[in-house]
Amino acid sequence: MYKEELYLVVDIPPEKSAYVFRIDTIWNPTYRLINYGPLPIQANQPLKSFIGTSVTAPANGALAPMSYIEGIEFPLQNVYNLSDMWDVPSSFLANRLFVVEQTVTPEFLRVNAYIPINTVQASFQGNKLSLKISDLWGWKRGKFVMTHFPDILVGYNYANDTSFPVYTSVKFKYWEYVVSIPSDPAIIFNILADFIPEKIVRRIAYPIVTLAPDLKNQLQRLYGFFGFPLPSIERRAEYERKYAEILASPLVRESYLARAGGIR
Amino acid sequence: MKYLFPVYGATNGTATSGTVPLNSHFTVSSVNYISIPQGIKAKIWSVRISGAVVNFQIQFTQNVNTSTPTWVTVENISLASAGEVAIDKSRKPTVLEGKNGNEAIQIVWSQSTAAVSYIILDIEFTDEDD
Repeated sequence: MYKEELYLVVDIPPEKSAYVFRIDTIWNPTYRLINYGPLPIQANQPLKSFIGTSVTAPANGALAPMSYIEGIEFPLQNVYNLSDMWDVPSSFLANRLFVVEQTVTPEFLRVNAYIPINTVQASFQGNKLSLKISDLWGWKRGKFVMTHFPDILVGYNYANDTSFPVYTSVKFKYWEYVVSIPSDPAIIFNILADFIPEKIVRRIAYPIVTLAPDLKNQLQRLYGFFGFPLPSIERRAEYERKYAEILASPLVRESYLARAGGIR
Repeated sequence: MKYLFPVYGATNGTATSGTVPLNSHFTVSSVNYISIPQGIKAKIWSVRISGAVVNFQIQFTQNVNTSTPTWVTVENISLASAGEVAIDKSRKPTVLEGKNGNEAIQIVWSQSTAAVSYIILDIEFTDEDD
């Protein structure tokens, strides 16, 4: 068994909550890098265009100038879901999740993600203005960090807003975590209130602005709740009580994670 | 994001003037100009030219998406005799900004006698403030 940080926190911004996981194992302590290679794009595959004209991929793994593509998953042979290497079945791998740091080159390419695969997850002024990869903002360039939960498909989007027709390439640095949820509400409070040393807690925001129904249903099946409410530090007793109630709730006790031994 | 990449091209050896077709290690095919996306700074860190006698001009436009862009010369680099010239700007690069996505860089050449000359630039695209 190998450990680095002891806990993983995944913030769920639209719920003002966070999942707190104890890291039981890091399945890949040594080998973190996957040079995946070109984006899974076929030559002549239709792409979307910034300038309205029809455009196709100029080669395998390539993006035309001023073009973009949405809903990319990463196929891999001999894994659970052949069309998406980051998807694992929650029915028997509920206690596993991936944190993936992705670098796409050339690094000036835009990248963002739809979660689940067809749901836009960037917006402005609440949900007034939805932000896609083709919009002025609502994306990053070159690098993206994602937490992949079991059975939640993520669609990655890429855009090339330059005059170059580009060959793409993707590199992943990943952590395959085996996790459980701490049974002590005081520990959960201390982690969420930042009373635990930073070096033993890895904290990541899930890049969403809305908990779409499909996503909500899957998180419900997976963990039985939508994260621990972020605490007010002067109300420790109240929040510890809330956390204890969550941990004791039937939905949590019957969740896939509980069945996988991740809730004690 | 800070991404440094080489851009290279050559004269065609048959014409005494023209626009240099530009490539990089990630390009599928050459381009006649490099557009600068909105919000990006293009930093030219170095220029090297070699080969036959030539004058290269690095040009910039603010209206590449029009039918007749207006190109302004940013820099002249010449070889007075066959050989090589290297200009290192590592202390202070030439910075060209993409303000609305209509900005672009091209390289043109002129020669008294058509021959092959080469140019390579180290360009950095960045969206970070310095």
